[in-house]
Amino acid sequence: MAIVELKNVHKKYPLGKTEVHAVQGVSFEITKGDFVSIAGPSGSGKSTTLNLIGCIDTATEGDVLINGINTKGLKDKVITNLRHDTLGFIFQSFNLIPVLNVYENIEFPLLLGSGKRGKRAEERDWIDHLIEEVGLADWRNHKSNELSGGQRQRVAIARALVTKPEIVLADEPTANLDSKTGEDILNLMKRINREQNTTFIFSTHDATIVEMADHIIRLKDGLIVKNERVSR
Amino acid sequence: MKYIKIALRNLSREKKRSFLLGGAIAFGLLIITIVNCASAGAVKAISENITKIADGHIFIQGQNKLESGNEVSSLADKEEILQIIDESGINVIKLNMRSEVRADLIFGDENTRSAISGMNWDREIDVKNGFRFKEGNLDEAIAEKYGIIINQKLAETLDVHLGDSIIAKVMTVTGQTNVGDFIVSGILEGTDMLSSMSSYANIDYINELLGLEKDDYQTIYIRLESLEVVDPAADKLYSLLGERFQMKERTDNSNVDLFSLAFKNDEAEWEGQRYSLTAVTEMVGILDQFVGVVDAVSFSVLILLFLIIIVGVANTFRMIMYDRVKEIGSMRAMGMQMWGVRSIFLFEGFFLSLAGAFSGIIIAGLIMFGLSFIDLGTDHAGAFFLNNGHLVFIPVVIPIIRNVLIVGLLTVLAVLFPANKAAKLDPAKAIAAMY
Repeated sequence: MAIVELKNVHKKYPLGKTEVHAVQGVSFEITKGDFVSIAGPSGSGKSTTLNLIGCIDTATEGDVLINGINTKGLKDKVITNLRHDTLGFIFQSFNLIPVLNVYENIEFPLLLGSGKRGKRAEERDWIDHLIEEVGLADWRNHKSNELSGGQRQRVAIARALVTKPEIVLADEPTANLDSKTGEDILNLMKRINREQNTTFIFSTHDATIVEMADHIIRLKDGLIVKNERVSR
Repeated sequence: MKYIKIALRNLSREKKRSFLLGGAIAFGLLIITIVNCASAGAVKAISENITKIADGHIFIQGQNKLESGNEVSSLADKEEILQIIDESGINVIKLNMRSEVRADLIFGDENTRSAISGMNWDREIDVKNGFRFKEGNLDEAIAEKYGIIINQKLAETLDVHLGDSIIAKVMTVTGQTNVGDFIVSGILEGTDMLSSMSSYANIDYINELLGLEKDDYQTIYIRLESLEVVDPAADKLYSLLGERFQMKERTDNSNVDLFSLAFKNDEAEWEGQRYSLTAVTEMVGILDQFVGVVDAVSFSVLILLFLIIIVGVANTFRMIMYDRVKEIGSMRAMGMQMWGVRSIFLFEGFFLSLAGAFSGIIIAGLIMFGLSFIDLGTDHAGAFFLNNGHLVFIPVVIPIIRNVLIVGLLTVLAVLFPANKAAKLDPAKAIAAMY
């Protein structure tokens, strides 16, 4: 079963007196455990598509199904819980909370859940494991402004994984990083994808990064121009 | 709990902004707290000053209606009244009986008005011990039948010295004008306003001027341990006296003139002998009104001040919302509910107001503590509001709590608008925002 399914999805934005048709009838499926790249040039609709999958934006038309649940018409509270429980986010500009240190930033999504939290000791161990995993054990008490871009993105990856989501969405995760660091970050995501079977969906316009994906969805002007699975 | 933690952290991340906002709130609370405590302190100071001047907390006076319809001051049943007081169980610290007259004192071209207490010198040990003579001495001063002991300030006003003869124009108990001569037998030290309000003379001569019998008294003065016990003691005594005598109804009288207070505003028909009981707390009723007005004005100023501050708070939080728009978007994306975003803002506002309010109260406390050490002197009319020349501040807990709650509420209301706006931000737009 597809973990993500988009059926004839449209998204229109008002822009002054005109309207921008950012996504124009997109349909595709993503299988659990995929490492998916949504590729395309600027303005192709990849960030909008990612936002729709991430349920932080709503489709003007069409259906977005996450784990078989149609998100259309769901109340904000339900959608927010779905985001918390099923999705993890990695942003282009990291979006770490500046007042919190590495450990606290990673812990933060755990504080937001509506359900009962797990045992504190288990949570602590899990966060420590993630910090080790992203190679920031020596930086756990540092604030975000004391970290490099690559380190911040590693924190963001750990934060996205802390709630053990089935899907992690990354919008241009390497755009603000140099190529070496960007590659390291992608490799890290790929390793986690393999080890934890977490579905990663990332948008990028960088051709070299696109090639790392095993499912590539290419967009242009809000339309899918290519939707291919790559066997590696 | 998690939102409280985030709110507190957010406050500490913009220390200067939090300090300025909290400082504005603290300033408002500081002013209102000082005003409230000072007005309550002034009432206490005045009450104590009246107690000092009148030398008592509870005053019992008698009045007899003659067949002619004239009313004369008379404590006809004083022995029985004293027995009732004795058996009442009230802890009486001191009990005195005096007659008192308000007189126009004239010497040469100078004249002034003063209350003269008619003293039974054998009983007035405390008063005698408290005298500090500038001219004359105690023994000679009280030995003179027509002698009057006045304060230095009064002596300066009339320009009199020891041995000078003063004319006193008084009203008798039946309302007729009477004139008598006093010889200045003692001049007391001190120019403070409070002690200059009373002069002392032999009770026999005062009774003579008032048209009373030699052994008569106008007023029984009862001093209790503190102002706090006055009202219950007065109620009890009034009730006990009422079982035996015709009593003038006690009213919430705001007249500060003790000697016209007793039987003033008396509209009920009565005959024969009756008594009045007045507590010092009733005499400061007008001051309570004054305090009420001061409190109301200061409260209005507080509200006005805070409306201005609140506009600043609302505007600042609006700016904070724009500052954190990406952060809000990220938190919403990560699964923070709308009410969570709203809570963080509201908690920030609440804690800011709380910190500001408590800082303001603490600083006000320190300022009041410092001010209470300053000696403002006693030789001016303002001395009536002071305790031996020092400002008095009473911590008025209920108004302070009320003010803190109002400030907290207003701040939270001010933050509510930007908090709602932040909560309703579209996560996708917030994350993509370029503020």
